[in-house]
Amino acid sequence: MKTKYVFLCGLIALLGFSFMAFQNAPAAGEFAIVINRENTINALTASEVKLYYLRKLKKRWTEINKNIRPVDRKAPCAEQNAFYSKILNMSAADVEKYFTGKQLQNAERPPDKFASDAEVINFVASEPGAIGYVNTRSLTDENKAKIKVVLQF
Amino acid sequence: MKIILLLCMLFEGITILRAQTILDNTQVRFFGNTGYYAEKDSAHHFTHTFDVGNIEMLLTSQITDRISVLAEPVFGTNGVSIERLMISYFYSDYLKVSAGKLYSPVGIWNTRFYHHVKVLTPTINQPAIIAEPEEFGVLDNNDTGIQLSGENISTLRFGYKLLVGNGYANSTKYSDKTVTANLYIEPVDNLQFAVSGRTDNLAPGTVAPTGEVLREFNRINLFNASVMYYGGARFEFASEFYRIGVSTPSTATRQLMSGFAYAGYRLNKFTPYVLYNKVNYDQNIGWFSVNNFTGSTLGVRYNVSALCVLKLEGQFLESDQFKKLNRIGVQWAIGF
Repeated sequence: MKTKYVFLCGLIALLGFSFMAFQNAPAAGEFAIVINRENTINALTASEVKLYYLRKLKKRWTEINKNIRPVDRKAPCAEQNAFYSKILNMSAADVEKYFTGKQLQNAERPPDKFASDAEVINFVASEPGAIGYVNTRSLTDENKAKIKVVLQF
Repeated sequence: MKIILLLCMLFEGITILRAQTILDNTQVRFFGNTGYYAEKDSAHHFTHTFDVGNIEMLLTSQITDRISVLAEPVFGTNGVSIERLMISYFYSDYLKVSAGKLYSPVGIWNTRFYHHVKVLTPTINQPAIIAEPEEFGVLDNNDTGIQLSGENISTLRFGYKLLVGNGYANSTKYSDKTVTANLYIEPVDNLQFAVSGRTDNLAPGTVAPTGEVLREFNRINLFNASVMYYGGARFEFASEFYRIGVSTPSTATRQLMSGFAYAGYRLNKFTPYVLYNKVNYDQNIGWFSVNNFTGSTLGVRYNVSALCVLKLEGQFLESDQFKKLNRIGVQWAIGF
């Protein structure tokens, strides 16, 4: 009887933890990488996004002959946390240091920073070389018409 | 009259718009550091000092889609100096043309960690061979001239820098221009291998850093090989080797050999590290003043935030100049 009771408690605890973990984990495809509609690229893998965003592979989009303009958020937020940890695999401090180093090295322009998804979308829509990240909730039909989604994560 | 007024208003509007665009495309940053050092030399003299480093201003601007400007004035106790002033035209990843006062493209450390930006430098002082003169430095880190560079070539991420500049003979018109070349690859993210070479031909009449005036032509050839793994998750490593030969028509080549090795391991916000560096001169090398140097450093770096770093070091130094010196140093470096 006692063993059954312990087993039942264990099972309930396990289910509880699993539920909590499920609640905290973002659903697949909760965030999106967006670029300007003029850009001819249609899809990117996570590792390609990292190389383009950090301008490690190239400094310009060869397809449209424009400078790559990474777009970031001004303050820490769920979108930024997910992008840094899942796509860049870097901490916020490492990202800041990386772009400061690049600015010192080659006068490379640091990312343009915005306060909200709406501002990010407007900037990406107006700047041909921009690449940014937003929450998929912000991708209304109206916004989708302005920009191009190349990856969901 | 109304038309003139309208034109004036239109012109003013355009000027304000242009100024706004330039401001939008311009970034300004400042870097500074302060520290405390306690040291004891071989004669058992004990000294301790508070130190304030320079304030460095970094001004970068994307003038057009392809043209950028970088200015780096340094404000120190001796006044203001221009560390770098660089105008670049970006043609493609494979070709960029930069002109002005630049860092000599020698090694990896010299071009990656900036001399007055201590917040991004792993150690308190640079390794001796590339340090500033007040830190027992040997080489001239800057050069004024024109540089061609390219990067991300092929899957090995091959890159090059070729600089033609004034070199050591900055003020002697009869000296040839200095040529410096740097080739590197980054086969794996954050792992770089590089080789560099530099040749200076100095005319008679050029004044050496020792104060001596050259009586005959001096040729200075430099070779460097470097490897660095930096920016990864935990382990970081750098090692560089330098060989510098000085020859004249009447003397055989005399050499300066130098090398350093750095290793660190990141543990969350702490990074314990070690640095060993050595500089060995042949006697009567001419251009350089002989000061054989050996330094071992044991330190720890604490990253308070992305651009705020505290470093604590124990340094064990030996040189012709001061025999032995044991030093403890603390440095607080920031960027904003």
